[in-house]
Amino acid sequence: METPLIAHRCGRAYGPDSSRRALRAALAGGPLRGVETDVCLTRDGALVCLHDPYLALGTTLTGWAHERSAADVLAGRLLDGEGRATAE
Amino acid sequence: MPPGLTVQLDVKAHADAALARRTADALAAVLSRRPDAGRVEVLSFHAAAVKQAVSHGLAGRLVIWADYAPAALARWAADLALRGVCVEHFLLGQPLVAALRDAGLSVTTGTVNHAAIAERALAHAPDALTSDRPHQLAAELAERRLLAA
Repeated sequence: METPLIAHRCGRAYGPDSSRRALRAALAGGPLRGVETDVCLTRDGALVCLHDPYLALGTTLTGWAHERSAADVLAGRLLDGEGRATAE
Repeated sequence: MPPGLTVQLDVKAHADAALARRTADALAAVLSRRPDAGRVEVLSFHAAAVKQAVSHGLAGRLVIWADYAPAALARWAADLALRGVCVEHFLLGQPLVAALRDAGLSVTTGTVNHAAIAERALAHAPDALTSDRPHQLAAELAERRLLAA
């Protein structure tokens, strides 16, 4: 019996939370039922895929996602599991 | 994203229900322009976000961290026409799962990363397990099944 599985935060064991790297690896790794990621609203009404609206928890930024513009948020970088900035 | 894959979008808004509703509104606006919106489920700890998503015709799934009054939860979710509920694995138990199933709701789990916990969760026949490491978990579960056979 195949277990129906959903990759949490795009498969956070494979890369930073909700990152392209994690998603690519999750999709390449075998069958999935689905992919889960998180969405936050920015000050200017855009949606960004981020697990934590409090930006310092997962990115190089500070403050809250809804207090910053999409351009500000996209200028930040996701942190890896050790808290280092990544290329994404 | 490969066809057939469900995409769960979890609305995050800290403790701000109004922000959660606005986020669901923004999601609905984006998805209304996409032909594959039908495979999206809007998840949230915020009942307000899930309710708002459903009001836009999207599939909604509430994430729960407590199992107070399962019958009331099931009735509320069914009345709103939610697709289902995401239940943290430590809450999975017969009364809660039975109440949700009897109301016609789908049941998925919160994050499960260990095979022993996954086996306990699978005993409740969820529609899906959620995992940070789905492929390793699948391999470990298959190995345990082989050993048990």
